[in-house]
Amino acid sequence: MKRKNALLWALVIVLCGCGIGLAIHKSRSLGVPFFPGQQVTTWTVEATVNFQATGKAVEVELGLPPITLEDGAQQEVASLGYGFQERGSSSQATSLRERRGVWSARSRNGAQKLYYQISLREEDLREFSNIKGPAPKVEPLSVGGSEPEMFARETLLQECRAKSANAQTFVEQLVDRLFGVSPTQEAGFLRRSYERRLGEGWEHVLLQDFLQLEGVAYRNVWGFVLDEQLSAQRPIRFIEYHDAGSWYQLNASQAREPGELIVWSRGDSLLDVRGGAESQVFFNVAKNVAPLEATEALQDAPTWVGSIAALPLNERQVFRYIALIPVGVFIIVVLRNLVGFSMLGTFMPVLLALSFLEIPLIPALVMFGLLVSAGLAFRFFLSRLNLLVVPRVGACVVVVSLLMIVFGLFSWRLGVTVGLQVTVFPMVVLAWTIERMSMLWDEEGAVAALLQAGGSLVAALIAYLVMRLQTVDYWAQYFPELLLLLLAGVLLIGRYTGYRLSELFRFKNFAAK
Amino acid sequence: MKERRWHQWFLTPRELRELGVVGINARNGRYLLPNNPRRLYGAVDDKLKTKALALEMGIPVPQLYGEFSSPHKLKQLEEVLSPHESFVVKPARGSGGKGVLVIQGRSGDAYLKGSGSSLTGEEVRFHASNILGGLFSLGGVRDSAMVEQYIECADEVMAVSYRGAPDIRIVMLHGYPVMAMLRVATKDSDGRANLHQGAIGIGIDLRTGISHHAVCYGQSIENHPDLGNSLMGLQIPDWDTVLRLAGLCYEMTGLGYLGADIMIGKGVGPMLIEVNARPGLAIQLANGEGLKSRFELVQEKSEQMKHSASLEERIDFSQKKVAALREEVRL
Repeated sequence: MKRKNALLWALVIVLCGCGIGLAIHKSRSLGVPFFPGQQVTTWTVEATVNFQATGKAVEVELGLPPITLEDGAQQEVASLGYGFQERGSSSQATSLRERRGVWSARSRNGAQKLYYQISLREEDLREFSNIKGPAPKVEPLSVGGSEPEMFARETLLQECRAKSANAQTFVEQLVDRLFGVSPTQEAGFLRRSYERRLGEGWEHVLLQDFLQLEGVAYRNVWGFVLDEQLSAQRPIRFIEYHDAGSWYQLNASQAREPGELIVWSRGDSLLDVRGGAESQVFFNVAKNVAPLEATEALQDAPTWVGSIAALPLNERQVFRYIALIPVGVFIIVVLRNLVGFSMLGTFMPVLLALSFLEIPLIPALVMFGLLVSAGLAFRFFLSRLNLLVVPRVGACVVVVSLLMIVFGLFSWRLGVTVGLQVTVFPMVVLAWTIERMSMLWDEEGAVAALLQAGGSLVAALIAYLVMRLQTVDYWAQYFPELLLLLLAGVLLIGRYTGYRLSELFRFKNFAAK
Repeated sequence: MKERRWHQWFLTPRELRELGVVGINARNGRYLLPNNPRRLYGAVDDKLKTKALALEMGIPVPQLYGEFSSPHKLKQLEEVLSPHESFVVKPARGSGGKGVLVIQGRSGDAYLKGSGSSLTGEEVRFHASNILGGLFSLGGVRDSAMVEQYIECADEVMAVSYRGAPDIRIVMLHGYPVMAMLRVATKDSDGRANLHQGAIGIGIDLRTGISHHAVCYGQSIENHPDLGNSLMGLQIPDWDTVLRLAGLCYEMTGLGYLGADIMIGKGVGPMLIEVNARPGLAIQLANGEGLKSRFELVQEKSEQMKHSASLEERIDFSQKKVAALREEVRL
């Protein structure tokens, strides 16, 4: 016993030492502040290029954001075995700074992945969208297409021109006619014809053709939505046109995620790949809680001081949860062994708490309650059939999945989009929760079952509230070594032989003697 | 202990420590984990194995009429039941009295339960197949059903139980009886003897086998809430045999910390029903006394004897020294 204790304490001291030591090192020499202070919000935006190399020399050209790196922004390029250089051009005609990044390699084969990452302040990011400039001179040009198309365009053009005063009203008229609720005969024909001829992205070409014919200055823009929750967004294409000294956004395709649209680059093409096929680019964004300098220092630091901040953005979100799970587990250990909570399933509340992190709390609780009670009702029906255990839980899983689908459909119909997020609940966990609850219900009565379910829910809420704390989230992301302290704490609780809080109440009648 | 205002709500940890109450963490960390290696659990978690071991040791147990481990064997159920007027069907791996079906007699083709309701042969078979499906086992794993002799309880103990067989739980450490209680059913507990379902726990003096304290739902009581008769001063018949059977469980299982559940049969005397490798702490409430000082006394004695004391020596020590701790607590 003595030796076991000595070993335990030695381990605890080593764990705490390592954890605290690393954290201090990070904080002191890398300048990562220990607390998420009040500071300027910065964002990291990452573009990932995927393609299949065909064995020849590869050259990949990607449009980059129009920034000058002097104003505190930082960029990072990651691509093994590729050379990278930037090409900038300043076009006088459009008063645009165009930046393009070029990756090149002699010969490549198979799936390739290139990363371009940029971190900068939020206001700089927004600045991309408002670039003012003098009106460029544009002469009306003729555009291609079949004869019927030309004819239809001319008709529409005349109509719009007649009913508009300037470029802005012209565009409004045009969009209304082309994409409004009741398109005219010409518009319908043009839409079908362009779609057949060009496939995806035909809306842009159609609008461009009209702007060109009308002599409105415009440019192609590629952007993304500023939302951390979205992963691997496809670039959003839209048009900016010029009218009376300002540029206006014109977004033809309505199918995009809601949220603030940020400009990434301008130009006719976003991505050009030579020597590869099936090329694709997508974006990830993440809000940084630590200052930019610290983020950069972390990315350059050796692996053993690493933090999640050094990972590609797409993975960062996942690993952030992985670092948060131990926090939830620690809370559960405390609630069980020190407080004496009774819960359904050992770590079920942690999974529940993780679901709560992804959607607003009240809808989450309502949805959980509805799903579990509907599942329970079905389970009581099942118990009349006297099924064996595994098929019974299997049936429960099927029913839970059906309930989720019905739930999603209903809430969509009712216009409550939050209902669609019902999918964040892990189905199998729900099914087991229902199963355990109904067994308890049978064996020990409704009170015991509801008490335990309530205990799990309260535990999940507490875990959720702790995991949601900004400081905890920050530490999990930037100081994952602090998990060693949690480990030490869990080990110590594992050897705690004192009373649980609940026992102070359980044995209260001893005093009566 | 001094009366305090907060005592109607809770006791402080210091007060609990002074009273020598053992909490669940202490039970697990100090007594259960160090003394009960996992490999020994198999023999007690499966009641069929326990029964076989007990017979080898000469410990009286209810006679096994038959065991059913697969659904097709259930066809022989009627055949096994036919010679017996009364019997018990229960899961081999059940816990806490779950899934125990007690048939006390027959009337024609029907089987009569203790509560007076009757079951058809089909319903009895259905109950057995539920047991096989794992309806009553921990974690719902497949189980075997066993049919055994129905033990009618001795009148002395049956007199204080409301429909349901009372049993005696003795907590043992290193083979020394440490504390004992009688558990009797109430209306609330519905024939079961589980304290958290409203059964009564009655503390039994280790030396004499006489009851001295009782609790129901954690409250001290003097009389049975449904029957009204006094629960104090009740003498358990054959008390020395009860202790001897409990003591033998240590030799039988090798578990350092265990709870022996014993019934007093009418005319057949004490019988071992099951052995529990993780006995709970409600026995402290039933006796109105903490386990800690008893555990410590036994631990010390056992180490001093190098864990080799004979059954008689252990029981003698428990009756003389361990039981005397109650008087000290009183003073």
